[in-house]
Amino acid sequence: MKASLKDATSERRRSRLSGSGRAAIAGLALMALAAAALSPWSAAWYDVQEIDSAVRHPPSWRPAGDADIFLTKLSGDSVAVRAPRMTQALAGSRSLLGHDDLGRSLLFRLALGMLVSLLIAAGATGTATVIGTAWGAVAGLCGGRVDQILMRIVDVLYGLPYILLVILMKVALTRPLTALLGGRTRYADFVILFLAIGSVAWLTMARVVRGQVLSLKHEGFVQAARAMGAGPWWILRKHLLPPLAGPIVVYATLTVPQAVLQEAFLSFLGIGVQPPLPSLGRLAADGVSAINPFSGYWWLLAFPCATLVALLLALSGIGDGLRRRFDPADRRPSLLG
Amino acid sequence: MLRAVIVLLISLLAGVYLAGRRASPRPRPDLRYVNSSDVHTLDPARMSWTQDLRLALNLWETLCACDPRTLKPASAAAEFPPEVSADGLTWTFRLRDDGRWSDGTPVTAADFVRGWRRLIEPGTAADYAFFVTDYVEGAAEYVSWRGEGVGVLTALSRLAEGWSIDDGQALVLATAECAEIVRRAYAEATGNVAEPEAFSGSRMARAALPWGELHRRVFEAHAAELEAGFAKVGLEAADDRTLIVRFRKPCPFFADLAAFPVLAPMHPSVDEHRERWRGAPLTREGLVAYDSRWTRPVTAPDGAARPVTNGPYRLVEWRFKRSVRLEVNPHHRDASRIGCRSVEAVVFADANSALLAYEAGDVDFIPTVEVSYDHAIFRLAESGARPDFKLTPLAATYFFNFNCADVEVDGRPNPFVDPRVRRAFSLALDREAIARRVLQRGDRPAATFIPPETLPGYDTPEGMPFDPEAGRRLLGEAGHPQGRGLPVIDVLFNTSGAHPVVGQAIARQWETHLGVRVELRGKESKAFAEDKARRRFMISQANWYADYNDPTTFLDVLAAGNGNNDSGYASAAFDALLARAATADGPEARMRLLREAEATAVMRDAAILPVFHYTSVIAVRGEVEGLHPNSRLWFPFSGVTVAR
Repeated sequence: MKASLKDATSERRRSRLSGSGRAAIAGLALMALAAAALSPWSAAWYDVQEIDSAVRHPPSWRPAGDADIFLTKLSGDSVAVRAPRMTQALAGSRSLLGHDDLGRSLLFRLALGMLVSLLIAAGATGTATVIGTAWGAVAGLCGGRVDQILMRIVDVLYGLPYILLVILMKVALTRPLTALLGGRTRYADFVILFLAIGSVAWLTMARVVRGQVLSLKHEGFVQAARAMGAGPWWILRKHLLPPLAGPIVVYATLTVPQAVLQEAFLSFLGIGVQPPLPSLGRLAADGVSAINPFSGYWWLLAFPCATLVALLLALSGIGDGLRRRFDPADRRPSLLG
Repeated sequence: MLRAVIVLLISLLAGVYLAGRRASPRPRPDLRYVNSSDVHTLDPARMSWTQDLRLALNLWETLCACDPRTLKPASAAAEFPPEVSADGLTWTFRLRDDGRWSDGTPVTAADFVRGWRRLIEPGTAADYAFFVTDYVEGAAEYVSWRGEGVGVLTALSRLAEGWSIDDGQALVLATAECAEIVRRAYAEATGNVAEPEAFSGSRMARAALPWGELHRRVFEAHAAELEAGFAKVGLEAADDRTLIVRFRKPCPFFADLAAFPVLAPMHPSVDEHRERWRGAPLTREGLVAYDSRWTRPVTAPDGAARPVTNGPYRLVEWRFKRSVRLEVNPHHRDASRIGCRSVEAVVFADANSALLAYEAGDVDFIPTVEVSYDHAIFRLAESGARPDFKLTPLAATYFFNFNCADVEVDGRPNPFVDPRVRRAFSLALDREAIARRVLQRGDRPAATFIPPETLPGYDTPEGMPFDPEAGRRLLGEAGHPQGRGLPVIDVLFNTSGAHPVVGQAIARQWETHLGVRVELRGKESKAFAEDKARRRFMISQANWYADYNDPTTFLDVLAAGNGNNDSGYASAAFDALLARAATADGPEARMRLLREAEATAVMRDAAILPVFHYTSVIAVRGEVEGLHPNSRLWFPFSGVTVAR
């Protein structure tokens, strides 16, 4: 697999990523890096409540509330203790994006929420890629009745509303997974969420892979391998997966923003991550009540939504750039112009 | 072709325009108010939703009224106060002679018996049947006798139609008194000795018995005894104007109950809609059933408007999921003095759009403003910037249930069986912070279950203080110093409204003060209700609104075996105090015992954890006078005047 991926990239080295794709990668890298770099602090602070002093405090340069609460919470956290000046500076900037209903800093909730959303999206994409590739490859390679049955299952699942599938998955998996994780529902929710999203997102992947396998398996090199007595597993590994790596990577990249959006949607409906753990969808859902004629807590809605939009645009831009790179025949204008 | 299409289009447009012109704008009622969802039912016997009861209290006049300013009982259909016998067990209500139905006929004592009977009859009985069955002599016995008859008749009618029955129904046939002839016939036909074990559903269905004939005989016997059976209930219309009620135990607050609309009288005309079978006023299964359309506003063949009601208003229009319109009942004694001649209840499913409609002047009154930004509304009300937003402390409590039952949660030991653990959690909660800083909408921090100063004559016990130090000490005594040995605490809550925020704030406090680990489990309302009812929680969020002005409306909830007792709390000491209070000598002694009962349940045993007592904001436009904010949100419209 490793060698084959290199083949696929070296073959197309000359076709470069478009400018928008590069901008998107840079944007995403910046956001993900910032979220990851903040993670020790945001994990420690996302639920530090300052209900005495900072409830619904608007964004400001000067910190609201009591800095000591923040700093005492960190005692024992090695990363933060090793960088006391950074910690001081971050504690001082906690009001940059304002505070929520419980006086929690939106900055740290947002940083952790983005990380949670990205992790769920990555997990879901991994699940979707594994299932989709295996399913499509088996269907394409075996053909005949097996192909018929496997693809009809995909058609049926396509026909069902995906939200229903996700809820069913959640209902079915909650108990066993919670038991498996030693009764920690918070982690179980997390895993279920990406399994559920992944188990719905693989359908397109399976169709794409099957189509590719169907056209490849009649190529000369596959025929030749078969004539030399290669088994199906060998053919799949050595002759089909290498040329498939390109489309799979493209589709996987395009699945990530979808998964982020679906996580946001499910959390918005209340079946995603459980509070107080934030995710972009949860934060947006909590902020919706800010739109009304009587009070203006705009920051609770504006910042989570802006982050979500930026994240989705960057991810789609990367997927789009990769698609164009792997498919020189495609002359459609790129997503970001 | 094209020309034809154009002509068709033009004529269509013209038709639509003319139709739009013909429909004159709906006349603006004197008072238009917001219902948060459509009316569920206008049958008083089946009611339990606030918006239904609000309409009923204006449509029907009960024996007593509840003064919206003082919430004290007052005279309505009957003279006040009623005559009470020395032992407190017999109450005699004298009906006023100017009580009139909306068709002009006088209201009689028999109408009240008819209405109250519907409240308990199998088929029409619902949530509030306990108002009669718990207190009125013979009512519970009558209901259980009727229930047995219904069980037997249901099983027999299934068998007669060739269906099978389940073992539970077979057991009813094996044990019910009125099924004696069935048992005899079954024993003869099968040679069985008619032991209860011989009655299994499938075996009975296979026995070739004349089920139709048996059903008819049981039905006729039951129908023949129906009136004699009801005569044993302590409700008696001595004459047209005298209603005598006999109680099984003293019920000193019955005047309050008698103001509740479920105890409305019923006009004889409702019996036109009653289902009959073989000449008896019962269904084939023995139920009392009415065509539910009897509450629809129609004009009967004789020209009279239906339904006939005796309150200050009558029902003139009910547009499904849109609105209900009331107009003054011309035969009511106060008809000429009522300032507000017409009322419309409009459905707004979305609280936000209701408030926008109010701001635009389309509606005059919102009984409870429940928007997600209600802290902003509260601030406007409190600062006086909006005098039309009125703060109203309610007789209602937001609390958490501890799972007190011995059973285990998810197969693990339940730490909250130990009252010391429950008290520790209750002591470690800063209610002041939740109510004043988190919610910021005027709710009062609750140290007790019963809201202080809402129930006349009741002196609230000293409540649960905020004392994290004592909480930690208690937790240590219970064998969990610094929360060691406790599992992750599972808190179940409803994901709607402000519940998640309260849940997160409380979880944080326990983590800080007690050193325990708390996990929140938010569920959407229906799933939440199911988990709560099945007691799948360690701690779960709950609320309770007073039904009448007596401490028992709260305390009964905590009695062992009560249908609303979600915590599973069962304390012999508490139940004994309630029982002693029921037979106590004089109101002071009674209130003292009830106070002791509350202290036992909330302070000593910490069966529940009160958080705050609700405060609601009601919105009344300036031109509307006479809607008095009160702790039960009790709004009779007959005293309202509108300056417009």
